[in-house]
Amino acid sequence: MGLTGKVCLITGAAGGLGSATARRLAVDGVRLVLMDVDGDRVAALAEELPGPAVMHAGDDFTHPGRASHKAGPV
Amino acid sequence: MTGGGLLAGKVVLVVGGSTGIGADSARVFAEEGASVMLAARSKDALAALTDELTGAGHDVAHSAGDVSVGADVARFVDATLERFGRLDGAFNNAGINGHGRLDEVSEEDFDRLMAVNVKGTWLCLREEIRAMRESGGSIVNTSSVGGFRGNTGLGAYQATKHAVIGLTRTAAHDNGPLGIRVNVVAPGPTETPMLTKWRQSDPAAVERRLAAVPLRKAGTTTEVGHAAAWLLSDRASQVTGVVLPVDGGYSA
Repeated sequence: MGLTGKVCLITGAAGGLGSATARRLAVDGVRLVLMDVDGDRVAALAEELPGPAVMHAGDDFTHPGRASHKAGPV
Repeated sequence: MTGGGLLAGKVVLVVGGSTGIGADSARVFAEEGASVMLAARSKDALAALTDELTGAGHDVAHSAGDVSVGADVARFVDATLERFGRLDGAFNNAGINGHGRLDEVSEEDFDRLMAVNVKGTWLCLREEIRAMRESGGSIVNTSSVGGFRGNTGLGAYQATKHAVIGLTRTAAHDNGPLGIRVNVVAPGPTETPMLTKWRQSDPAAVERRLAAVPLRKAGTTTEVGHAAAWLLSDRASQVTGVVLPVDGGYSA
């Protein structure tokens, strides 16, 4: 599908649609940055997924500025 | 060719597959692992593309005929079943352009445009659904951004492309219970022989059109093929009855 090597940020990554999308993209070779307000669940998802450089950060996007610079280089 | 392609193992019929969007889409489908049956009027163009693709190791055949003639369209589908054993997907892309203002269009031109673009799409749907009735499938029709807005200078073209969307939505309702998905791609300005012709007849109109495209370029036929490939694939398994613009944002 031409997604191999792309870097994608998913917000709300621990939920139903977010985690399903993360799983699909991981299979397609996408490097993922997973973010969710639920740090434990997003960490569990990151553990489970294959592929390189899956990173995560539990965060609340309702705070301006929080969304940036949480994850290091992917 | 099999393997990890988006359409690996699928049999796909491309009607209007000898030139432009159809030919490049057929190349995309073959690259994505499909066995492809090409159909169009021009036997020579079909034979050339078939040679090219089989030479590259793909599983491709062709059937020549007129999309506005029911017996010809039935033959496209029958040839597919005979050659490949089944039909999983179809891209109904045969179409012609119109010219001039509506009040300038001749009755003959109007009838021909309707026969190819509208009746042809319906005939394709009818015959393909016949072949997909037992095991399901995916059909993609080609409309246009002219399928949901008007313009001047293209005669009844926009009307026919509106009709293609109507046929698609009805077919989605009719055949969803059979596991047959029916969708539409709606290309915006695309680098095709049709656009080249239009550029020759009215270059200013083409430039105006491209200036209104947010991505500031005409699309390529291959880009339309990629969108159609996705709709034909199992990745789009919950998608039916949609109109997917492939237009650089022109209709946004």
